[in-house]
Amino acid sequence: MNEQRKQILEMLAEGKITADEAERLIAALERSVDESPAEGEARRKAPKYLRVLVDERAEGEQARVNVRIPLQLLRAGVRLASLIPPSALNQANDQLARSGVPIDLTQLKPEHIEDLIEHLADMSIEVEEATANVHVFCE
Amino acid sequence: MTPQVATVPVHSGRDRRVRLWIPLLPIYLVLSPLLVLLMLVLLVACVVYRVNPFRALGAGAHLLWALRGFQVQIKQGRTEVLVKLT
Repeated sequence: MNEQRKQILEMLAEGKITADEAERLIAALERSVDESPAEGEARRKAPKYLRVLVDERAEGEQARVNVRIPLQLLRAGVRLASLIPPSALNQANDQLARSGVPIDLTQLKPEHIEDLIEHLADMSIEVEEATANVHVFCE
Repeated sequence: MTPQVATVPVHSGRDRRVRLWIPLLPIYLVLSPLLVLLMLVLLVACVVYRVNPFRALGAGAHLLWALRGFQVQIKQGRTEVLVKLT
């Protein structure tokens, strides 16, 4: 039992607070304990940029492409996509399904984008070949 | 805020280094007549497809604001070009 919970129970035993007040205080205490680490982690992990690095080595000469795309663009794109009429989205869904990408664009909502971006922090794609390396990640 | 400056440093060979700071506001002003025409076309499209024009305008503005921080760097041999929107 932690110290704060013990203090609340002592105050209840001494009659300084009612049982309802003690219950509310303990509930508030548990909320603060549950939320603080998760919120801090989410804030720390939320990436800001999508990075695409391409390194190519051909005939002794090295080429490098380094692109940094703000993830705000993804948010803006989803917001723009929410304006597309449902009939057009259905047509796009059909075309995507025909191309082997069964994504339902009608389910892509602006309110889901934060979760998506948060999980992008863990994404890292590396493709290595004899003459080129491609690395896609979020930072 | 929309991007205000495009920074373009160009390194060519060992000695040639050029760094350009291009203010984007004059470019926005030059393009503003085209923007008016574009908005008219978008307004007609919004009416035809029954989309709220204010929401469309907001989404377009958000897209422009989101470009801030965009960066492309291309390096080939001794030549290097970087375009950065700030």
